[in-house]
Amino acid sequence: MIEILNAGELITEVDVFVGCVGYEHRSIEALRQHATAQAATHKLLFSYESTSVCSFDKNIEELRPLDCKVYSDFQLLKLTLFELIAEGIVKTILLDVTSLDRKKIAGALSLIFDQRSHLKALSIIYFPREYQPPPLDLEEVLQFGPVTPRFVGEASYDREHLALVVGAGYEFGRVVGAIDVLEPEVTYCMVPTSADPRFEQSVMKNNLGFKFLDNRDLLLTYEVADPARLLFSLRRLVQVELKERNVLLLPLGPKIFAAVSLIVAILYSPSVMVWRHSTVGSRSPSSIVDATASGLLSQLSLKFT
Amino acid sequence: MSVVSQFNARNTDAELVAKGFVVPSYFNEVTPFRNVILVGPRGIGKTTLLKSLTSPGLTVLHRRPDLRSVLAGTDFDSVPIYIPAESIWKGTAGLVREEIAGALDQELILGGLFRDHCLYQLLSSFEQAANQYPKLLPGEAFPWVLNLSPEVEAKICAECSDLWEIPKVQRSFLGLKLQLLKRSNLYRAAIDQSGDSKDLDEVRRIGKIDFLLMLKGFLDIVEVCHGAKRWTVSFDEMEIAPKPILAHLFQNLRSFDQRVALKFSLFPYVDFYEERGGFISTQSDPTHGDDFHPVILSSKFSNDKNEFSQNLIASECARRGYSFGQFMQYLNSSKGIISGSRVFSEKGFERKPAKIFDYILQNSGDPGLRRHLAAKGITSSADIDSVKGETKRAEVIRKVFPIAEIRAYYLSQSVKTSANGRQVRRSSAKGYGYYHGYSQLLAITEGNPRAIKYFLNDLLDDMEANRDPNRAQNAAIPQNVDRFRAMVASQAVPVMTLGRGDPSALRVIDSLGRALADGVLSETFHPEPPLSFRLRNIHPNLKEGLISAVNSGALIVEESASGKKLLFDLEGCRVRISHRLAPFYKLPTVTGQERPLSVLPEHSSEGQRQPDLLAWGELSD
Repeated sequence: MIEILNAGELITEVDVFVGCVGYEHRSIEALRQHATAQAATHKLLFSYESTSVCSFDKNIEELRPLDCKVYSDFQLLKLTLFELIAEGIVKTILLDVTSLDRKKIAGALSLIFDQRSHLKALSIIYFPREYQPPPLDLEEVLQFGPVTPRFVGEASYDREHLALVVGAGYEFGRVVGAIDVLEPEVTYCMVPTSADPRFEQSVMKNNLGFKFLDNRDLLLTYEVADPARLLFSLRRLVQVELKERNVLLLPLGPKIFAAVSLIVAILYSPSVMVWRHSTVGSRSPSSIVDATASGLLSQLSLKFT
Repeated sequence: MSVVSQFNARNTDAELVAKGFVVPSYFNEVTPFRNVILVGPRGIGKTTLLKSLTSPGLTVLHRRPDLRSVLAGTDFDSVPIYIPAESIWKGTAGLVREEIAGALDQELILGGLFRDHCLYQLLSSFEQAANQYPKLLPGEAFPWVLNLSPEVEAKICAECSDLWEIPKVQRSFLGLKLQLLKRSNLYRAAIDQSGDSKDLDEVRRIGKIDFLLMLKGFLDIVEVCHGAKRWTVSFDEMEIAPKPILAHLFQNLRSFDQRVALKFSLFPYVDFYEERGGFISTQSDPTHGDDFHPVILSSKFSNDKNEFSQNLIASECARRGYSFGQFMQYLNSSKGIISGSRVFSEKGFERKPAKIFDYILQNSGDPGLRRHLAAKGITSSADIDSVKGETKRAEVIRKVFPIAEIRAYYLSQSVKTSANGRQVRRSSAKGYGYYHGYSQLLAITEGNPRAIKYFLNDLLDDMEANRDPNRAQNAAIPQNVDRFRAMVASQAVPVMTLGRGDPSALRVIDSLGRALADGVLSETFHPEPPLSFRLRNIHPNLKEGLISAVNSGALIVEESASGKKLLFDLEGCRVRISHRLAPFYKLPTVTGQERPLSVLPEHSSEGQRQPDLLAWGELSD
């Protein structure tokens, strides 16, 4: 059983903190600002090894006095986490998804949920970035497919067509491109809202005002700061859609949406697909921009019973 | 908001597709009992056509009085099997290549997924043909509708269970389909290498099962059990299928089975032969004309009469309760079109070059063209009328006009010096006026039904709401161009195929489009600037980008002079940029001279910045 905790009863003490250090300044924001992360007995960080890129070197410097274990191999990090859980050392986990890529979030969540019978609780945190105008480029897609093998979905007699549930971001043209490639029967677009309305405005603008949606009723909003509610509504949506369609979740936009999507997919495993784009951005270092935390925090806490 | 019907035939029932089916000019090339390869990019209408030729589709078509003469004389005496590809295959295949180390294991998984999907669809189509039987109207009897008793169903399924290596004998279509799904899920599970390898071991144990052998066996079984002897098997969107399997299917066009007419729909560029290390024609390869009939659904390189587009627009207008003329008039009444430059009639429109030249002479924005005209003795409007003689008028006016017209829209304002000292020209306030009007809608949709429907959805809503046609078209054009660009950008080419640093389809197209636009809108006027490219000694790093651009419909290839219709090699081909992208680069919707292309062309720095979707619109508005 999984219990979603309300905002007032979030987990404040954890055995292990799992996060990353990357070129984004906000990648280690949890260790700067978040008391629970700072107080974690074990701190496991994946390093993106982005020497000389944006804030990476500065972030590494900041980590020095902290008692963190930094891994350049994510498999090794997962193995350590697995062993800590297996040995009963870790019962509560704080996962910071702020700068982790979707594939690694999927890997971490898969491991945690597979081991949930040994765990008491999981808390996921995400530090939204300060607003910056979105990039002007239409990024070229190198790969568009399931985030990991666990999320390839399954064939079912009851489900013929496809329902696409997109967590919209302000990546120009990505949603409409996905619709044209996947040709879903129905598309739900979930638009993030936050205290800074400029995000929402950019999301709308860079998605052509969502004019491509056949049915405007399928344009839904969610609060970045309230992932628990997002989890409830996404789970309900997926539950309904699975009765007649294959469901493919495409989490663009804030990473907290990706984390919630992956949790929902794991709960309905193996029925639900979760896909990701791999874009040309990674081949073009000039397109990389730093991101600092806005001061807001999005947190989701789950209790395993 | 009323949505235009059938943006996408994939998710629409065959009956509904057939009800709204607009007969394309190539219909009678596809329908006869022979092997056919339908070639065209996404959205061109391949699925609509093949779904209309399924059992329920054919029944609906034959009940339509308006199609009696079209269908008369065509041999429909076969059981149609429709096998659509799954849109998720490409993404799943990418993951398999990433996760599974051995090529043989990759092939077993992808081949298994493909085969069991096809067998499932084969059963579904066959079942559909039987399900039609109780729905027949009194007096109706069609060869594509089967009378199948439960006993025959049980017998067919039991024999297929054995042939298809289903572990437990099944006696119903449902049971057999469930077993195929179960095996299909085994292949999916085998992709996951994080746990033990029991699923992959099971996949290895099952081994390779040839789909075509399974298909042939099914036909034999049905012939014995039921008596059905003739089949049409349509494979839709097979470009998504694993390449080795596709090559195998193609190979079988020559020798498969006399009882079957195979119909494939494919992207324009045939790349499955790459798997064999490039296309080398052999004696055993099927040949066009003898073994299959190719039907090219791609946009015409030049002189498209747009008959199908017009019928489609008329049909959609009628569906929404408007007259075709009303919609035409709405588009043509845009104030964005230079006044008097096009005279519209029911048949179309006539361009009035004098008005365009007059406009250019009265504005200071295009000194290059003014100099060109002055050199021909034209410095005022009156001089235009004084050009006499057919040859002289052709040289001075008609030859110059197509380029002069687009320059009139985009170079109507003079060059200014910006704060940083750069020479900047503000574009015309007319926005996309050059692309306004009904005939230009036909041009910038390139006969692509899906593109037409996207535009119609916007513009019919605007007409219904009495929106200004100038504003409506200025909004619809960039939205739809951006949508197409996003689709081109989303055609993932895996890193393994696209080398590091190789330009993607979008980068190739942008580079070509901007280079051509430089010629069209240059300071010095060229009456006939290049508007197409001849591919010669293409640099290897351009190849994948070009192929992807051709397959997405962003590049249109000229029909081969040799008459060969399948495209196996781009070398020597002449290509132009799809008019669907013309407003983005400010290119005319005409076909022009060619220039050679072997590497990405240079273009002006103005075009190097790729603005976002709305900013590029605002630049011109």
